[in-house]
Amino acid sequence: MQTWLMQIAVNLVRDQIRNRRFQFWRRAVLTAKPLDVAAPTVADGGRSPESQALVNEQVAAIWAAAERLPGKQRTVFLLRFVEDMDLVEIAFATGMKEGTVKTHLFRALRAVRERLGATL
Amino acid sequence: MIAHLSSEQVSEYILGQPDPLIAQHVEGCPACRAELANFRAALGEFRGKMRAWSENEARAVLAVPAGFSEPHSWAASRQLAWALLIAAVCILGSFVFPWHPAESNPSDATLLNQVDAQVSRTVPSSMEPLMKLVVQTSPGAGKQE
Repeated sequence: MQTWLMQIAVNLVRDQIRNRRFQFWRRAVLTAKPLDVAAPTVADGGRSPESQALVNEQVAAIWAAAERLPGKQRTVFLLRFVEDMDLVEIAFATGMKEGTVKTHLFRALRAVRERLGATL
Repeated sequence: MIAHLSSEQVSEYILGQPDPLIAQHVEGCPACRAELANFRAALGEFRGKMRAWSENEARAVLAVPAGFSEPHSWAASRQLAWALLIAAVCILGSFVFPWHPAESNPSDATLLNQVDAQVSRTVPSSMEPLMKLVVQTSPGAGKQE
């Protein structure tokens, strides 16, 4: 019983956090603030300058592609590839059908891949 | 065996729902495997950068002075303060004006005793003489008593 209640509490907190993150990304894509791709991340350690430059180029290309995506595609793309949400969760958060989410993701991925092109 | 992956097939694979034929092709095709690995790695880097960026943004929002906090949260804390104040007044009031049931009006106690006596009777008072007759004439009366 205690475990069950704890699970419900954990789910509620997680949903609340995800909902706040979703609101954050909705605001972020509306304002489309520039991303500082040169800012170091935890995984940057131990890379050669050339390798780091390529990574930065790729990240910048993905961000540029994401900026050009239509609103819904961009939101769905960010929720999937930044927030690690699955199709069902994205459908629930955005109020779209699962099939619609999948279609948006396919289109977004194609656009991003085309943009990445030579850097892959 | 299929040719190199199309854009749709790459998307399917990246989304983690590949057709068995696609999965089989990727296993046997180093070029497609490398492309998928690079694409995944790039998306992973993007995730890391975006998360770091979003956390910085969130921290910047939290760093806004208290005077600029949302009115909704202020209203909620004001409601909570009122609720606590009312609860405190109720608790203090129960100490200052305690309820003493024993000190209630004596006529009320008498009335309650009369009601208890009426309720505890098995038959109405007007039928009590008849009950005595029934008890005397009944063959098992002795056993019942």
